Amino acid sequence: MEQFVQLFIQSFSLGSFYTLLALGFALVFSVTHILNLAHGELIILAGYVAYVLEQKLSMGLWETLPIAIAISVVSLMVVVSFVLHQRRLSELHSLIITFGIALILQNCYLGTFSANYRIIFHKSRYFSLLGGHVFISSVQLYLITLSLGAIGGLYILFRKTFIGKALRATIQDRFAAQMAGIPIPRMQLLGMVLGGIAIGIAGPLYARVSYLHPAAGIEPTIEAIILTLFAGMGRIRILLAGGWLLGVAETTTAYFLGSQWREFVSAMVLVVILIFREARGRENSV
Amino acid sequence: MKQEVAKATLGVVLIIGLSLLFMWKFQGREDVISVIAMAFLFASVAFAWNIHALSGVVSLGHAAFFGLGAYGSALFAYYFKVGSWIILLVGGTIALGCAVVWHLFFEQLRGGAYTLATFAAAEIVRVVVDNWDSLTMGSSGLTNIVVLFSGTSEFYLVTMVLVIIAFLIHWAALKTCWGLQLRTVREDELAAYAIGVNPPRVRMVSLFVSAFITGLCGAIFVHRVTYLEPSMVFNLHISAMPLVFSFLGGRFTTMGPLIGAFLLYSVDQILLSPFLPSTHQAVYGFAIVITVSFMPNGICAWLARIPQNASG
Repeated sequence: MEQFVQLFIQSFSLGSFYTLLALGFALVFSVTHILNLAHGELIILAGYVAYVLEQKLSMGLWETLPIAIAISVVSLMVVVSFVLHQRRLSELHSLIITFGIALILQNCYLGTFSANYRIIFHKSRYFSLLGGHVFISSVQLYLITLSLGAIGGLYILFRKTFIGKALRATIQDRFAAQMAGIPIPRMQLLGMVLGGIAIGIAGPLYARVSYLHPAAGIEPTIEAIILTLFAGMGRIRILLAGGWLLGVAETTTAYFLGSQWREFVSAMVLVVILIFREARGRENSV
Repeated sequence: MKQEVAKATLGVVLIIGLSLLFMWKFQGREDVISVIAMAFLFASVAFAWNIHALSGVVSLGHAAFFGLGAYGSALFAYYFKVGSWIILLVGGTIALGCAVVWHLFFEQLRGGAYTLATFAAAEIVRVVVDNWDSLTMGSSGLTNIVVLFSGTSEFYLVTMVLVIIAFLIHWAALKTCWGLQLRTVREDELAAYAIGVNPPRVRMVSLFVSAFITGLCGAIFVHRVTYLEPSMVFNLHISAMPLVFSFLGGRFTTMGPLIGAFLLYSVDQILLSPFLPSTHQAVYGFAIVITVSFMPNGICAWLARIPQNASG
């Protein structure tokens, strides 16, 4: 019983974090229709920034967060606006260009930080729950509060403010939104800024739960693509539910088969989602 | 058609002539010969990749075929103690088996969805090979793999023959009746059905041919370097290379992938890698970004100023 509660806590914290990982990708995809394969690399960038600031300059998490967020916002804006200014822009084109950008970034990390595996060493404190048999670590608490905080903040922005309504309109139908007088380029800029903030929060956390190395970005990218395709555009609650499901799937595989099969599960889930989406699309069109 | 055949013959003569010229010119410079041979090998992968891409879909997972070819051939040689050229075909066949699975599952996918699926599929193959320790030795890798080529010059000649075969098949995928079928399939599937072309079939054949050649290249590669570990063949870089070469050289020209491979690979290995040992591969990223943004039809088309046709 305790094992399962422990697994549940692990999946809950990881799942919330996956949603945070996917948030930047989902926002950029829904507002600009760009599939950003360099998404994971940007998270790794924020992770490396946090690593340098915390390990070398011994700053705390709360001091590094604003810097990581600022760097992520700027870099995401550079990448996305570069892709947006292409003459012929299709989903496939955006995939290929961002793939090239991902390769460039990976090699820059290799040159700057070497191929060593790095992690922000964090001395976890454990809090016991349910009469001392189940534990929750401080890292998990960070994951849960920061992820749910960011997701909740975005949800409130989407649902309760006027600008959020405009953003939702842009996501649902760009042309109709334009007819209603919503400035699309400005909304795209807003989407990038929000996505950059999500990446900036995710990076320092990523450096705590997983090892940073130059090619590490592929895993968060795949997770982000899975959740975004699963949820569709602009649906935050389903994104969160998907994150939890993925968290459960990966935690249980890691528990029963070993953690080296985690990547296998996420890649498999991606393939299955792609095939099912296609099948559903065909049924609807007929 | 006659003119095209003449051009193809000219191309083959040109490849043979130039490669013999290089061989004579760089006599004794094993390093240069070996770089050119590797460029030929990866040019063959690029041709193979482009044969598939000509059917209208972009794969980011050819590392799966390359790696399975390498592993299949190396493990077959290891378990059955075979040391002849047959094992190269085993590599190709195993990659072909993987392509059959791809075809069964990804047949309906198009555009971005197909690209993402292949991207994930290569990852799946990597994790399986990495963790199936009892069969593949896992991440500790294989060493002392059978050497098939007695020297650099033999390897050079083998890759030259390989690239000529790949060139001819790629030429057929552009200029023959099959080429026209591929073109209809990538431009308008419905129209293809209407004129009696069977798109799934055409696509399947191009995928199978492409996978077989890629697997063959992987097998040749592994019997040259003689050691193997999963991250060596199942990485993004191997998937990216054929794409970069084809885009750079020109996807709709018969020589494009070869020219792209030759330019980029030799520049990368001879000029960049001595000076920037850890970051030189970034040049592949720059090459993709620059070609796709500024000359979407590649160097060949850009030089010849061919009017834009046939966008993928």
